[in-house]
Amino acid sequence: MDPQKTKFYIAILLASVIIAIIIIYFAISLIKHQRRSLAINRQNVLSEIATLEKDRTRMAADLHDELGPLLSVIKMRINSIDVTDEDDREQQELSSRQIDEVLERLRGIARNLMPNTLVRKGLVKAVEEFTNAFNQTNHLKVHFESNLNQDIDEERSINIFRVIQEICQNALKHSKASQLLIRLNETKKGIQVLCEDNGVGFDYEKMLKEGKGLGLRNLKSRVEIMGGQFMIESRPGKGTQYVFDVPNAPA
Amino acid sequence: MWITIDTVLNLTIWVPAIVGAIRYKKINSAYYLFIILIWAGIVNENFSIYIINKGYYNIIPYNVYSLIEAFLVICLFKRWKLFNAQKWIFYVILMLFSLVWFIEVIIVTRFREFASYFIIVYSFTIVLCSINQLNKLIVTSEGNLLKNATFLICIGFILYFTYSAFVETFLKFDFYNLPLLRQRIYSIVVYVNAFVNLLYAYAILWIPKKQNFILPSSLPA
Repeated sequence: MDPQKTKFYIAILLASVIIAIIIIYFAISLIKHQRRSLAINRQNVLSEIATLEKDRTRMAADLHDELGPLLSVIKMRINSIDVTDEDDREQQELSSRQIDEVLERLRGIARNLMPNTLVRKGLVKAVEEFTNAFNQTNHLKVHFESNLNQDIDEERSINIFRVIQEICQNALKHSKASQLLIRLNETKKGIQVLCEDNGVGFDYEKMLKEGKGLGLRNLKSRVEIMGGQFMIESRPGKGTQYVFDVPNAPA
Repeated sequence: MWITIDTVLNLTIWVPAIVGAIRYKKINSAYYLFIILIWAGIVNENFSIYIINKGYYNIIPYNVYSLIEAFLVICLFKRWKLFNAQKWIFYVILMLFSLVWFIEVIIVTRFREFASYFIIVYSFTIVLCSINQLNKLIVTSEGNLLKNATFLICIGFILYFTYSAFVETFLKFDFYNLPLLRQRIYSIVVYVNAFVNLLYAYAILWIPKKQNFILPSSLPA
């Protein structure tokens, strides 16, 4: 080959190699920064959720341990007043009943904020207790099934419990459903949460585009910080299905 | 005609230098090194013209300037916290630059030739650092990147130093015996330079103002 031509081809080759190296480095560096940014975001969400749970625990304890006994003392004092008049006795009984209602409501709020059962007896019992209480007070009937045998660490238990709580609230507020099925499955890789309602459904993509769905974004964040995956299948008029795959915690 | 266009395009370096001089006292200190880099470029260019007119080669000042330019750019990246995650990379790069420059300029050529290998090494390193900085901004920055001084400066670095690395590589491998190739490459250099200079001037306009912190020392006694 003509030496001039050879030189020209070498020049072209060299230029191509330099450009290729620059492009490859660009891609690698972009991926690296993307991953670092995702890790930082995940850490931020984790801290926010941890702070939120800490606040909820503190508020539940304050309501249960401080306001509860105080109301009980008030009720005892009211009942200890010796009344002779029939109207006064009626008022005394009414006040006593109202204090009982307030106490019951207070316990309910404290339970919602941080259920004692979740800490003492674990996730399945806590969800059972929650769905039973939910069925007593709402028209939406929640059916809960579980085949979980493994012990789940407290952090994951709280997150899964919150996810289920949020789904129940969403179904009650928006779906117009009469039935909601919740199933906790133990899989080889971890835990699967399946939820299905018979409500009106919604356009998930459209809702995200419109910047709505704060509750759903919270669900997604909670699943993501557990390293899990979140899938949602919903169409107007066809009900909604949620599937969460939460992997086992690393040993 | 060519000389006129070349001269005009070469004068574009004065645009960022003047804009930098006007804004110097107001800008964030993280960008001081960039303004110094522009001024150093002007000083080097004028000094080179001066000694060439006196009948000498500008090899020594150019080689010294190359080392200063490489150090300034890497220190600028450090100031922009590019090496925060792995600080040792900064020192390795400085050591690498010093070593290549010392071997090529002092030991091998003894100031008799331009430090082509050093220019190739540092240009390529700066391009990679710029890409890294650029990607960091793409991922983390929330504002308009076309109004981000760091982003614009990095684009300028990538364009200028990629071209610089090409020119030096072709020169070193003697590809300039191809007349057409040489003509094309030199005709583009001038335009790349002018474009990058104007980009730098635009970038300087977007450099954020320095923050006025209220320190205890500034409080009335």
